[in-house]
Amino acid sequence: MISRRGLLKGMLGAGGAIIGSRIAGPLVREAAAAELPSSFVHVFFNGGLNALFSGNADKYVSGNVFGVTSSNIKTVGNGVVTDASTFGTFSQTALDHWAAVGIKHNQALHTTPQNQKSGGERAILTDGTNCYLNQLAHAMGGDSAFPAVYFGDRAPAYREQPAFEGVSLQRVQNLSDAMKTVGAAPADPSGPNRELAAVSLESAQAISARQTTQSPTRLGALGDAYGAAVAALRKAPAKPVTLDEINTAYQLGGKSEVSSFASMLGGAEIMIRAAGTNVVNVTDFGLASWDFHQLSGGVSANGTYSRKKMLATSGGGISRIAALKIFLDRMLAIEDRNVVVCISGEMVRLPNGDHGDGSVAAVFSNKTRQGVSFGVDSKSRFASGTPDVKGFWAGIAAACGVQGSPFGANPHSKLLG
Amino acid sequence: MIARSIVLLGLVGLVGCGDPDSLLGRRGNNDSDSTSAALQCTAKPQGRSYMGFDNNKLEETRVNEAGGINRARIKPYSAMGGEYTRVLGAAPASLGASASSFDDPPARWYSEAALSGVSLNTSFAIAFDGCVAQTTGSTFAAAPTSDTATKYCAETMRKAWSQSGSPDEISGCVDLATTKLSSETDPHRQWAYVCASILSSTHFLTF
Repeated sequence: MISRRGLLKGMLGAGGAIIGSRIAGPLVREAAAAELPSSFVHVFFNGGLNALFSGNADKYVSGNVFGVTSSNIKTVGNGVVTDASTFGTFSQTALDHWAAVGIKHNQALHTTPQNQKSGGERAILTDGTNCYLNQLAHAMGGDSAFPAVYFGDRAPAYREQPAFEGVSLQRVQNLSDAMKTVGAAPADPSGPNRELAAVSLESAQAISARQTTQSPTRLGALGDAYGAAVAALRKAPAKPVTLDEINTAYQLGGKSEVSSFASMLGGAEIMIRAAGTNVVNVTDFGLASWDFHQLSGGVSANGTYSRKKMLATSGGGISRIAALKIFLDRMLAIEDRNVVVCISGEMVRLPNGDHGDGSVAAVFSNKTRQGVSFGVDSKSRFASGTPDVKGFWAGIAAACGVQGSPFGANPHSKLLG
Repeated sequence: MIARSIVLLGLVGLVGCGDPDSLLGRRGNNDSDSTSAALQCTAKPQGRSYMGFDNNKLEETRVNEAGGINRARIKPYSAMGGEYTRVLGAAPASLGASASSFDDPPARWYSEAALSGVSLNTSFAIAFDGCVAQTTGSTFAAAPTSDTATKYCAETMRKAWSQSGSPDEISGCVDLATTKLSSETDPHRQWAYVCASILSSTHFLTF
């Protein structure tokens, strides 16, 4: 639950936030976070996220690559340097817990509907068979009816991901529907009773067996949907969160459909607080929509186009950066849960604007330590020895307090876990 | 003439399956040596291989499975108004404002429909809404019995699914109606749950 104190702390100006986070905040929170359940939110920019935003802006100053100069960057600390007007405006609490983590996935192609078997997005999100999102959700345990969910206009890596050890990845398209399903909305006396709806859906699934047996591939996800809906309907009433609160916080204009970047983050908050969801994937709308190859005067304008898009509205309402600032502050202020937020993209951009072969993720949580773990150089190249995708997920698992090493050893232990 | 064409097409297709080097592997064809034993299409043909721009073989994603398997597809939101009307006599009032719950694509666009746990629960609530309206009459004034539920389940399945329910499916429906809804004291709503359950099965939600 978000406390009044926590929210006020998150919404204070930089001065107040510095007092809260640097003197008392981190020590108290880090000690408490070790015992708390965790949630992981993966904010993903399909098509690419320039490393100048995710923590390596200093590498591009000397050549004025992407238009980066010493005056339009912000030095965050411990090697983390970012774009001043976008990620640099995050609250001090977020900046103090910013881990920039390199991922060498060796894929300089986009994953698209026509290229589902390769590309950066597929490399980051799947091992070729299973999806890391619900693998992590499974490893995190707990009893959420919706352990792994996603927001966006299509499935991660452009295909319905298979359930992993019974943990499926469920889509959320409407915030009001989500709240009703998890029991966070006020009960409608004329609508179905939750237990009787669960019983009726169980019966519906049972009488569907003849067809689900005949179409196991086509209807596999629907089978998971029955299970998730029934489990959610049988859960105890969710922790208090209202659509009004989310609508006000993320300035959604009263819309409950997931049609803007801010609504996806608002939905992530609903699922974390009301459903105790372990893993949330938020992928920005559109096909490779962060793939800016434009040149200006013969040099890459990727930084300029990316910055414009971050500061522009998406689906109405507030900008992506404004939504991210609100989301980060609210997630880092939650006192009964360790929320780990990762902002990453399909690939970094090379100085000529083309595709790099890995990504730099910006990871935030109250347990995360500020710094850079395997970033890029001035040519957007990763050093040899940069961990692969499993290394990234090992670090995230550690940040989420997962016991054991489901993804192998954590190569980012100086910052995560 | 038509019958002869069908026979010829069948022979051509079947030879393609039975003989890896026949149709897909060479120009022209002379299948005079085909036998009935060879005309068994049980696996995808081993034809030529073509590499795509992504270095994956184009034929890798060809589906190879028996006929009638994995054919079910979720009905799109745009079809549901007509479907509910066909079964219930009217579309549920709550359906009209639910386009965003089901990813209704813009006009002249298409996207394959899918249901998640959240949207399936919404679909159930919409069906229940329509079923409550349908079960208000005196026919539904008494709680379901084995006989009345058997009749209702069989008739509603036939109408909603465009096929008859199997004995097991009808039995499952009757079990819901007569034993699992006992905490609901309003018979009309008991029937509404039974109705909504049938309309939430894959037989109704898919085509």
